Amino acid sequence: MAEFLTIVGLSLKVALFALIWALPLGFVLGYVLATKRFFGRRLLSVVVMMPLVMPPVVTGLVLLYLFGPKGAVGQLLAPLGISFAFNVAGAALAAGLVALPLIVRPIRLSFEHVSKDLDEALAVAGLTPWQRFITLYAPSALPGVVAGGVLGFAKALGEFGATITFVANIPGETQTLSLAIHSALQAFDQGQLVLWLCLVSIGISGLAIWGSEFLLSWLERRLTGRRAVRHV
Amino acid sequence: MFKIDVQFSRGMRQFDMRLNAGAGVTALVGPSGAGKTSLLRALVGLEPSHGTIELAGRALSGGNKAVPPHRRHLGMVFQEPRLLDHLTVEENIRLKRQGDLVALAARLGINDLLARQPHDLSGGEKQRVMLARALHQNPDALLLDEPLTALDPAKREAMIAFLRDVFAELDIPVLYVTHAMEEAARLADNIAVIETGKIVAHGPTQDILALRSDAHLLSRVTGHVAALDDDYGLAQINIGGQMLEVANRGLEIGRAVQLNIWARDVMLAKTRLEGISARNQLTGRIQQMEAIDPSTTDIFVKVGEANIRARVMAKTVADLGLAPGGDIFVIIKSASIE
Repeated sequence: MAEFLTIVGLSLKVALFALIWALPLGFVLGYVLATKRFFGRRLLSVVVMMPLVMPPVVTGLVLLYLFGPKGAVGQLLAPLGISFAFNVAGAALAAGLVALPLIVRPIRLSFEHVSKDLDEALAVAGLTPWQRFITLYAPSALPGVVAGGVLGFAKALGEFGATITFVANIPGETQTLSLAIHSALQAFDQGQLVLWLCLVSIGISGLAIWGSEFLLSWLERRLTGRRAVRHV
Repeated sequence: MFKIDVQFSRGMRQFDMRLNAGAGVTALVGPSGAGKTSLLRALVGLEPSHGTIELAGRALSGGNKAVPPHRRHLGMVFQEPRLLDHLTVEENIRLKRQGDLVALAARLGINDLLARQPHDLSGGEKQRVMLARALHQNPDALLLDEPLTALDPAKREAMIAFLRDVFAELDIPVLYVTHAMEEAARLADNIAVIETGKIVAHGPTQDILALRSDAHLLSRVTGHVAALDDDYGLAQINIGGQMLEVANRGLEIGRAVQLNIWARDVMLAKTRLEGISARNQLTGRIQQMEAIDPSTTDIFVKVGEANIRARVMAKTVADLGLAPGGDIFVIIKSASIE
């Protein structure tokens, strides 16, 4: 039971830490990619989306070469006491990176759908670009933030390939749900644990989706003043 | 004073607009595609333009410098309402500005709307809110881009009356874009006519109306000089075999001329008239009749190859029993040679 709780607690912690860095970054990237025109925009878009299509193992290897103990960035950070090697921080880094494309996508779409007409009207009415961001863009992007946050959380929670490659499968340190299920499946006598871990995975995922649906329909009412149309 | 001298292009089309507009309402009238909306967008800084824009002694655009839209202090009402659905009407009007809304809301008749959400409002109410937003900023000029487009005809009437009252209390330049001369005539002190990217006429409303609305009342008749009467300084013009006398201003025999005849200078008679001052009586056949209003009818009479428009009282049509196909005498009081 203690083992079970450790695994679930650790998984939630990793997914949460992953969101803490990936969601703000995804928000900024979504805004920049949707509204700014600059040299290298397409390249940035491709780089951000890469973890979605690359084999997660490769993503994990890239992280290892960059942030590992002997990685280019890892060596620079080591003297500062910052390490991603085989610990929770590393797991959160891997999970967040794999989740990032799923976070950026809906946020970017939200920003792209902000009405240009409204932006113009507010500009003529005297609102500075920053005031327009606060008044128009940020509220319009909230549904995207919710959708991206939930997708990213779910992805981070279930991440396997990049995590195991980058930070290995260390119980209590980096062994999250998927990794634990994988390990338990290898053993002969842990059918019970596998079952419970699967159930809790399904439960958390379902809860996240249900919560986001609830939040989205509430936002829809707040943003448009209308009731969300329910398609049955 | 709004001093406008701007050049810009949209796609393949070039625009070159010069206009000085003082306090009061100046309507910018022209067909769609003439560049009316583009001009407003250039004025508020939403589209780039060359040339200079100056408002109340302040340069909004000139040389390489252009003041960004949010610092131009202009109020604008767009064709369609542009309101934020997640804010109340009051928040939509205020945006970032504090200050008293009560007086303005009372003036625009939107007191009851302030606490509501934009999606609850009718089209006309939304445009009032847009107007309130524009005026709440105390703009240096107010710009309206066909604000009645989205309204049905009944609402449009009410809105025109409402706008007249609102405009009457403003002492800033108001530029009002419309494609309907009639709407401009009812709202504007001055009218600027825009055609294919240029302002082709600008002046007080009544002058522009006199100029414009008469154009179609002019019949153009071609003929050639058949004889000259030097004793009285007259020239006889042959129009499809009939003679018409006009004052001779250096014409020579045989020359082709074009005569301009105003509809109000044309009388109709069932029989040839004797003992009247008008010398020119031609015979023709009624082609077509067009009721202008309940008391006025325009009658088109075919004389030779020419089609002459006569403006008569509707009662005359009934009294004389005029009908298409009927023969008629056309009495022309005056005609000028172009």
